[in-house]
Amino acid sequence: MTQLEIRGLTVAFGAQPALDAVDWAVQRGEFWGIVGPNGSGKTTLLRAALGLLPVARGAVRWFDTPLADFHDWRRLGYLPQFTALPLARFPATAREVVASGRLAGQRFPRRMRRPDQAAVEDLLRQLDATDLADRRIGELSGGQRQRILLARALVNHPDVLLLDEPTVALDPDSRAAFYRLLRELNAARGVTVLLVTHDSATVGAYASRLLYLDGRVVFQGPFDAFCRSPDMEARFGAYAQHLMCHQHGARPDPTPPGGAP
Amino acid sequence: MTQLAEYLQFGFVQRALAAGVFIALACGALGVFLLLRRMAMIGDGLAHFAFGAVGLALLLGAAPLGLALPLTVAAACLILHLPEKSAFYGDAAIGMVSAVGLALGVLLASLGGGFNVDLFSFLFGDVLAVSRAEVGLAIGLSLTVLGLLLVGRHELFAITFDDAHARTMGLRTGRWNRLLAALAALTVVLGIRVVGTLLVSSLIVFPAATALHLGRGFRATLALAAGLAALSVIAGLVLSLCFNAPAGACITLVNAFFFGITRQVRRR
Repeated sequence: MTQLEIRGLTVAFGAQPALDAVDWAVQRGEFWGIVGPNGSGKTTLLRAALGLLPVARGAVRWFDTPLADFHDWRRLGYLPQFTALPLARFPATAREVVASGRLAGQRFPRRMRRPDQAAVEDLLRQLDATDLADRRIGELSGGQRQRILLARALVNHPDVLLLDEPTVALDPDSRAAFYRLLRELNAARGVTVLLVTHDSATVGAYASRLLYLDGRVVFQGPFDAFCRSPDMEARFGAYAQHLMCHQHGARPDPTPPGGAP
Repeated sequence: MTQLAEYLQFGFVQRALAAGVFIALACGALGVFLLLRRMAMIGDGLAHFAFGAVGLALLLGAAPLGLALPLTVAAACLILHLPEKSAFYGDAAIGMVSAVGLALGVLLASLGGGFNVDLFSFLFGDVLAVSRAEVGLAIGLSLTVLGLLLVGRHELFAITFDDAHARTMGLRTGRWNRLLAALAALTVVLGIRVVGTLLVSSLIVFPAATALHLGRGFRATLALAAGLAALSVIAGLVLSLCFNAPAGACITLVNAFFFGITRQVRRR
């Protein structure tokens, strides 16, 4: 089942297109790693897909519904870039932040009813964050905050999880734990994951599919195909391919151009 | 103490306390949203604009608050609208609207024969002079502001914490921002009767800033800010009566005192 379909998407800031004619389709249960250099349009793609940026040309459809008519926001969980939030002095507790995710799809006036509260407590337990619930969000460490913001994205049990550089502020252990959690959500619960990341060394160990952007789609498809593709080396340089494909030994060695493996 | 009890028997003191406390509750609660949305200076800008609107009302012989209210709400919408449509920053829009309002106030006062007592009372506030009708208006509008904040508290929390995420939950954040600006205009116009156009932003900014230091949890912070604002009005009025000092200045200095105390407490 196609959950997200993007056709000919062009987003421009002024005269300069940030994304040009992107076509992309996401099927249920896929785990996409979205990579590319700075300014390649990764965040722009996610934000445009969510309707947070005006689109110059093209169409976005969620679950076969055009974005303009899409209201089933509970099916999407979004974790924005860490640095975008003024968390340090915000007086809300972690529990209040997670609970705010339950407003998705409700009509005005939105209410926090008993099932909503139960869902919040349940998720805090699952993410091992119950002890953080009454602390101010600004008092938490980077890893703890990300766990709380992930809980907010997951509190409606979404079908699709969109994550924008979620591991930027995390140390290696927290990062590994975060990725393990994503993999479990994807494998055990069938949650589709769209992960924007600069963590090209690690993404290959978790994502099954790769979207490589550089203002346009340079590559999209299975990660293995990317690693085996001989022309990738010419496009991105041997270093990028080495990082993504070999560091964790999770992917097969690339096939030498014109030769047998 | 006996003298204070005697003061409390006077109708003008009771009216000042009633109007002042309700307006302060609205200013305090709204201030938390405005500070966290980095819109704190909108209170200052709107207060200066309201001064111009009051000057116009006095020149035309109209009810000052009756005319200032819709004009200041319109100015609030303009402050939000300008950065959306033009290439300049939001605080520049506040500065422009503020300066135009203040210039109009001075010009209209000059046309009307110079600064008179009425305009002076709006500049520095005169809560001890509020009429029975103004008390009714202040309580009614303050309850409206508090009611809207209460009903929309979940939505306002979501857009205040994370505007982009709120939009991905189907919230129309532009509408909520306009509502917040309109409520700010309403609260400012009410507040200038208590502390005056020059000091009204202090009733919005100080209690919220103090509560943000102390509050644990968003609801608790809102309640604390509203409570501190009300307490500052009561304490300020008492000081004003005891020392025969201007009420608006006393209220502002009490707020500054609360803020300073909490800063010291937090450091320890």
